[in-house]
Amino acid sequence: MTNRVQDIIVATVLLLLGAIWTWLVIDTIRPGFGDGDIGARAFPMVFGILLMVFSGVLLASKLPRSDRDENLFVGDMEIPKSSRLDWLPALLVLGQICLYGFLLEKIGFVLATPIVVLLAMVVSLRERSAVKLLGMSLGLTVGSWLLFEKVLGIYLANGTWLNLG
Amino acid sequence: MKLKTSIKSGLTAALTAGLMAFGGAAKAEYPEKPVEMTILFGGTANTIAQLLSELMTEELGQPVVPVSRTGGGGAVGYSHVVATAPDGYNVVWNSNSISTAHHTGRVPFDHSAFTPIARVSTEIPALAVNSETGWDSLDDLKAAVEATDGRFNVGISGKGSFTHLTSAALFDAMGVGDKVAYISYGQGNAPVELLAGRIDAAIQWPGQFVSYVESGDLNVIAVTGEERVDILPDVPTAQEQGVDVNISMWRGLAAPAGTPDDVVATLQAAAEAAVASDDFQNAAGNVGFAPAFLDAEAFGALIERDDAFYGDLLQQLGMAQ
Amino acid sequence: MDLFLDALALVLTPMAIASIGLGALVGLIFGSIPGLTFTVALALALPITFGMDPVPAIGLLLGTYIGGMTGGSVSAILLGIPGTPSAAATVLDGHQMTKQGEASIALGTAVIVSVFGGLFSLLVMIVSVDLVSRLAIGFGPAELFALVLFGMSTICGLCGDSLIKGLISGVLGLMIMTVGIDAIDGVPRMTFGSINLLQGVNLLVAMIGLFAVPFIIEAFSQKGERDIQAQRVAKVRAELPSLKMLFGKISLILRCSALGTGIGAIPGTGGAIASFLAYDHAKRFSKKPQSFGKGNMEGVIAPEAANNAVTGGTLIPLLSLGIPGDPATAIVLAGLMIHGIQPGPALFMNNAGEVYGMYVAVALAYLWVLALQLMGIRIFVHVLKIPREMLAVAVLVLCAIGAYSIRNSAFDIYAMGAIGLLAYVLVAVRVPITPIILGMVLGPTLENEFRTAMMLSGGSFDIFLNSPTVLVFFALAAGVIGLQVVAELKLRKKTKEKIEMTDA
Repeated sequence: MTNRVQDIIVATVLLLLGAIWTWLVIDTIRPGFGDGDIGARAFPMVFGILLMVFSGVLLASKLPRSDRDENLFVGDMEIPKSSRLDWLPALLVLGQICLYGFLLEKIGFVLATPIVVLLAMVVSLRERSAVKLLGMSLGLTVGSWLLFEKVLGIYLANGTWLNLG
Repeated sequence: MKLKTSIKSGLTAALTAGLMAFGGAAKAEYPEKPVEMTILFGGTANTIAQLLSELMTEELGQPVVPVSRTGGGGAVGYSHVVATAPDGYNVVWNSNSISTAHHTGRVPFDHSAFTPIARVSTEIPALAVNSETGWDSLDDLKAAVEATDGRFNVGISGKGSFTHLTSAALFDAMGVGDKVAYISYGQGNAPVELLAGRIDAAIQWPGQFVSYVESGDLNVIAVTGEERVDILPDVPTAQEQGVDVNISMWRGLAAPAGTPDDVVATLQAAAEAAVASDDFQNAAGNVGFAPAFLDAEAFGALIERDDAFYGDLLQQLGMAQ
Repeated sequence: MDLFLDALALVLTPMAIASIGLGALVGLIFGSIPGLTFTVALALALPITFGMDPVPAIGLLLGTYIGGMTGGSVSAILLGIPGTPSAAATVLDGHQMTKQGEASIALGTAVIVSVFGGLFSLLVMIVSVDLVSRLAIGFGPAELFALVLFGMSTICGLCGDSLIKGLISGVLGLMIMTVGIDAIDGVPRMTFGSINLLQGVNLLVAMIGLFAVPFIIEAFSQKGERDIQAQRVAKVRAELPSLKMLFGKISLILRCSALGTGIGAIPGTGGAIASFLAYDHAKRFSKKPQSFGKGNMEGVIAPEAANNAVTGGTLIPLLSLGIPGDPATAIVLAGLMIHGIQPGPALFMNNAGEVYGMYVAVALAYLWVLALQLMGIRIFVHVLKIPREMLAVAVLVLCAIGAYSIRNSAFDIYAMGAIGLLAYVLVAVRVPITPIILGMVLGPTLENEFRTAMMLSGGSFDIFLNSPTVLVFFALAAGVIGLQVVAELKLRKKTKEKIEMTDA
């Protein structure tokens, strides 16, 4: 995917997002009463419109075909190469974070942490060495439990289903 | 290898501790594990709660852990506690906000979803003006409002906040409510806005005004409670000045409805002892709240009475859902 | 002078010195661990102070505050994950320096200019607290709105190659912060009936997500590229910046310290806006503006001097007006009150001794921070030797703990994940993420002050036009934006000419 195509996709998505946002804001928030009362609606609405305008400008500046724009040096600034967008690892990490949040509430920090660490290492890092897996999951759990709960006194989540420590 | 052994022993310790907590859950005297106290707001609410939890820990023999779940005008914390088991291990540091959260439609349940344990403290709003105005009483203020052509700006913390409700009730009782414009500020800015003359009067907590009164910059002309407040002993109440308003912010403890009576009694006794302690009484003077223990039954009646009052007030202000 | 000597006697007790040191250490730990923030550290320190004497108690809180403020730069420089919003500007060049193997120099510079900025602001505070607090009173809603708008204009300096993408990113930040209960009208916005969304997105949670989650994703997806790893380890040195270099930058350090002190003195602002303004200032007046964002030392000096100068600055409204500038100083305020010290104009009559004691405590806290950090650098840099993917696993756990600890809500962990994914995608499509944090920090103030100003004036824009302060800030903002647009257009033209030349 060239930078230009990528920019066009991004601009289109953001344009849509801005439109949906603005529509929702107008639909769900009541306006102010006037006479100095701006109300709760004005600012989110303006932000939504601004997003549409800015992404519209971005779209407009990329649409006219000029293949030469690519890989040209702009002034003395290099155009940064677009880094690869790795959807799979990104979604996996999001899944792990959400699972962690869920498990923290249900089974507490002491049980949720080793499970999530194991999962992250096995799934995302394809780690197979038992020593490393055990060391990391137990080490991180016990280490942060001792440091935070015992030394620094931060409240770590207790589970509502079951609870250790 | 040393590291590994220490990990191992740490794990064994953690497991044993966990199993003990597990196995012990069968039957014993309440409380036999830490009690979680959910705090709904920062600021003074948080300070009092942290102090109270330390003092109650000494009484109960088990830690009372203050856990801050702020946001949504109390909605987040109330919703958390209401969903926990009614076993006395989850209590909420509540306040009048249960009524405002319910009547403005932020939470689908009302005060009856909680069993009251005890009222602990009260805070009484105070009305201040810039001392250069020369206004000394509510009568002066009323005359000034009536003489204003246009609007009379009164500072509040935010629409639907406790200071807003108090201001609305006060100015309505004075009969000049329709000439007043309520200006929303962040919590602490009222004194500065008064000094700079951007607002004409403000209702906030007395603690914020004391230093300014001493320096002669501001003049507090009324408090809205039943009695005068300790840190501003010279300021008369609104009732003394012939304006029938009696509003105070109470704070106390409540547990999910259905919590056993003996558990409530234990917590109530711990709260009573904590409130009576020297530490709590001293802190009250410094921070600017009044220790005001009330037992579960009387507290419940108070909540009931207040809920009807705030429900009506929010209805009048057009904020009820 | 007698007062000052009394204060010295009060503070220079072993107990007080130790508690200031303990505070500095705890603040430093919280500030430097990615995901944890010093607001949480202060909330934990507060109950400990209940049982202490006033001077050690306040020393502990001030030490934590100052330690946390300087500690925030450590993970910003080493991992690109700021410990406080105030350190977000430091990431831009500080983390680049780490990638070039100059982590310890960046860390050393950061701590030295931090301490300098902090002591500078303390000095300003001592001599001019009365004057400054009188000036601060002049800052009403209209003036604050104008100042924040000027702060927003620094987005221009942060957006790399494309102004429009920077603006998009800034607007996204503004939008995220409108979710939740509106502070002025008390109505829910964009919450879809969810109680969790009522609490809105917490700024600190979003900050953790923005910077830490992309770090984790990148580390996970780059596994196997061992050569990068080897390169990194080879470059870890523990080297301190030379004093000669720092003396060379003294004028910049002084300017940024003054800027930070001034911003901090205005109630309702804070470290983040000061550090972004300082960064923008440094870039604008630099001889090599194009090297900013690529590891320019001045990009570390400016925000770090400014955000620590804010500590002294915020003490001015805190002590003389009783107004906390941010959640962290609000906790310091609670600590003062519970020990019977009532901030406000009467403080300097009633508690002059304690006030001087606080001055000494702040100075002492900075000395502790200097000593602890300079020793710590040797340890900190070893973090870079840990394999990156293992570090990422640890960061994952720490950030979840950190996000959870702010409000004890699993919703915050979900929010962190979602914002993190957004940030990762934006970075990949070359949209800068720093303007998001700027939008998030300034958005609520921007909106609330504007609405309050309009309420005050009854809907008339005269409130803005009649204030010289407002007009000055508007002019500055317009100038910054105008310059950027001109520069951007020039670049375009140049590119076009180049194309035409190749065409010919």
